[in-house]
Amino acid sequence: MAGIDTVDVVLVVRGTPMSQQTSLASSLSTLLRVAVRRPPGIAPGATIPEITVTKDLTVDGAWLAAYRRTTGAPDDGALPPCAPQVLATSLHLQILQDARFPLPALGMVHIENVIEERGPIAAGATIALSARVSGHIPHDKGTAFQIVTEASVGGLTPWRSTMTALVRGRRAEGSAPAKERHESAPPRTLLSSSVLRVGEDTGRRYASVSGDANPIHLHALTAKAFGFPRAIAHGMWTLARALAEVDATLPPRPRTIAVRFIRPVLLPSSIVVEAARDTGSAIRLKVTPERPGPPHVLGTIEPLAEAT
Amino acid sequence: MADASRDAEHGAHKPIVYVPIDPPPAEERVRRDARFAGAGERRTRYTLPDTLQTSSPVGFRTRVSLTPEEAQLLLTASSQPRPSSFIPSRAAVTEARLFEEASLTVLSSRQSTNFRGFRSVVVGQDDSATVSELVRAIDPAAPVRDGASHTHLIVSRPYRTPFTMLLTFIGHKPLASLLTVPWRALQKRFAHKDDIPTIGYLQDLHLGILADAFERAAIIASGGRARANVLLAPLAAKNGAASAQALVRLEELCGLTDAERQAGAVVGLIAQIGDVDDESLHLTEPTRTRLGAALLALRSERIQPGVNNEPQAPPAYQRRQQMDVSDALTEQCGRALYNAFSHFSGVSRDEAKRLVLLERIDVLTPGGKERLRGIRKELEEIADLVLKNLPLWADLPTGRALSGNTARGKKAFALAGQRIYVGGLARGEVEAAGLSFSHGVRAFGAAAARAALTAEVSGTTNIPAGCDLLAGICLMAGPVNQNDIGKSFFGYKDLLAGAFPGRDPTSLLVWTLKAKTVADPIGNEEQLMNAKRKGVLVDLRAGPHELVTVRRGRSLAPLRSREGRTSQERAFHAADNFVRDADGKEIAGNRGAPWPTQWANEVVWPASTPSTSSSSSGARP
Repeated sequence: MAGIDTVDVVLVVRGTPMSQQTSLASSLSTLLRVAVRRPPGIAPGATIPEITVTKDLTVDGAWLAAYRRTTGAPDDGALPPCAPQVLATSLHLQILQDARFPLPALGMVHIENVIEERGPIAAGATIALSARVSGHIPHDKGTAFQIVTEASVGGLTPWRSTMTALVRGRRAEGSAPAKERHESAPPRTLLSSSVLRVGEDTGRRYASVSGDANPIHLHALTAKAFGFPRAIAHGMWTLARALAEVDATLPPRPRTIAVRFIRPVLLPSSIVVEAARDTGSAIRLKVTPERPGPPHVLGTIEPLAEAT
Repeated sequence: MADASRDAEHGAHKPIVYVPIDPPPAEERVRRDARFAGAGERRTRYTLPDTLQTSSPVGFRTRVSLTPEEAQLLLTASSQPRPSSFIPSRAAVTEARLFEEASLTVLSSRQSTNFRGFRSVVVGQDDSATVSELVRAIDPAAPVRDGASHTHLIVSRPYRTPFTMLLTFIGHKPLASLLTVPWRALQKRFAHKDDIPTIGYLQDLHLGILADAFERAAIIASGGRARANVLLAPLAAKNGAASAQALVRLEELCGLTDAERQAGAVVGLIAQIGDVDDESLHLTEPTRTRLGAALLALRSERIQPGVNNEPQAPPAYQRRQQMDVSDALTEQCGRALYNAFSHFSGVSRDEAKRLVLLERIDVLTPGGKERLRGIRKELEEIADLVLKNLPLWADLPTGRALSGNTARGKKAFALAGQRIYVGGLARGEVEAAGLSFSHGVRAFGAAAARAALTAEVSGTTNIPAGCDLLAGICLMAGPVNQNDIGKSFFGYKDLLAGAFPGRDPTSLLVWTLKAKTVADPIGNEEQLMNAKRKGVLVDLRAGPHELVTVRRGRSLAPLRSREGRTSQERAFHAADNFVRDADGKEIAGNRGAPWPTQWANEVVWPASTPSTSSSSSGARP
């Protein structure tokens, strides 16, 4: 599809914590600021400096209910696995807007995400969120970097996410690491397989909850302006919806959720969400188009050894 | 009819026993072994669809090979007497249990795939008490039980499909049709008059079939703790204003809308579910899962057994098999039929045997071949007369769609199988026995379904390697409807007229029982063969959120529609009987996804007493 093989352009715009949601206009103005920034890139021999940002927040019950309605996440009294990342989006934007951050946001794509859930975060908990970027990863299509986000409650850190994003076309120094192939082994036992209809308004609905009002998610017309044939679903929505769908088959916390975003979900469309048990206790997650084609998302969910 | 007399017949019921079906010699054993179409290959009804998009709990299943013990258990669970009373419920009614009950009843009941004639409203203990009062006010003799943990109220509407639309154009005189067709269409729309009587009877037959399913469903979903007390007699206000008012209140409890009333919808069936003081049918979790999955597998293909030995069919469908069903099996089917008719109508078993009219018309009966040939010829003659008399002013503008459909319908009357029966009732005799004809037809539907299940259970027990099944049965109204067109418009006699002279019979259903080892193709939906769909199959069967609502307090909420999601769960999926190709590849979307555990385990209505049972039926661990 027009040479785009990754999903969730990180032009994501979110305002303040979800309990104090910013307006769409405010989101769009932040989007504009991030989009027009022209940083110099990574100089030879240099890398991305460490930038850390933090904030405290209390999750708003109404927001959480809206998030569950949008992603289909069942209510087990804890935050759904992808919710803290949505809550931290304003921190991610702070990093991207930071004068020391050397890469442009335009053309940035979210390619991988690893979430470690060591324990549940109660729905009404006060959370200390931090996001940190440091260094870059050479990539054969450009330059990648990771933002590590942590959610702490009462001095413990039950949730951590490592989001890998790629800035296409700007290759920094260093050799690209060997590709890890998530899909190399065939799944052993199919546990669930369902076809979901993804509505045309999915992007708008999720934008109203996440604050990510990137035009590529909102409407076919605005998405076309950025080279997409139709609007695309947010990558973190696709992941959250898929995890919700296979919830009954997943190992309980503590667990790791590692996914690669391969191809965007065009709106509207139908997707197949499958969970299969691999050797051992790992569950493979696969989101594919209804008609044969490259997958949208591939991932693995496995139990995490308890911290001592 | 008094409550006592309605239940008095049970002592005379004959037990139903499992009868094995001998498999064919090893070299004749074949199975479906369907495969996915290759890239660019034309899809047919014999290839597997690539994906299945559905909220239906059924999906495409392979038969669960039951043990003889399981088969006997299922037959016993399917022929229980009406509960004499309910005891306080020992376990909460969970969301998962309601889903399983719905899956085995309104969501898988035998109906045309393009017709959704039921919706169900489930009410809790308090509302169940109200329902009991209202039904007693409507019909003081109704066999109502108190203390139900919950009750399913079934709203049923007249049978209307593209086929019945076609019927509007049948039986008119050429010129007069310009007036008589619209007149009949108006009568159908606003007065709910049927073109031919047997179309009207379909609504009652479907209710009877559903009634039979409810009794099993209550047992399987509860692990044997509960029973269903099904009130199948048509609810008609018999005692003046108070009775009429009670009927209105009952309809209000179902949330019956004005639009539904205008479309002819009524409260057609009430299934009171409650615990009973009878531990004899305790089902372990694995057993009830297997029985539930086995029942859904029987409703997996659209028609069973169809006629598939057409030239383009794979070799498995062309193979001749030396198979038969024994007289012992058909005897058990007959027993089940008479038991069930007696059970659901309230007449004695002997009376049931007198009222139910059955004619065997297969090739094994004397003169059977000629009789079958005669019926086929007659049905084709009727189809030809219909074609000849279709108003051209309606057929031509639709691109001859009406005549095309009529011609295609001929294939539905192939009447293949080792045992073929035509069944029906005589209105005068039924009414003389104290039953309304509508009630009689409902009881007949229930009896037909139970007889069919008796054969199907034998056909899915001890299935040898290399086989899909050992026998299947098809319950058809098509030939009867075709005959009824002939009766109504062209002067033909009823199919049963020759066998029951002087009794003015009305044939209602045809059973074709066939011993064979290959299951029907699953890709027999028109949409699969539609090139535009590219192998993507959208199931026409309903999901729980489409047909089932749960009343809690004053609110009615669809079952399994939550947080913007609808259920993708296939009921009893733990039995893992999903269709696969020879390499073990599954149809994407066919397996579904379990509903989140915390939602499935949610208590919809609490137990009356603390649980004393270790059974986890209806709840996930």
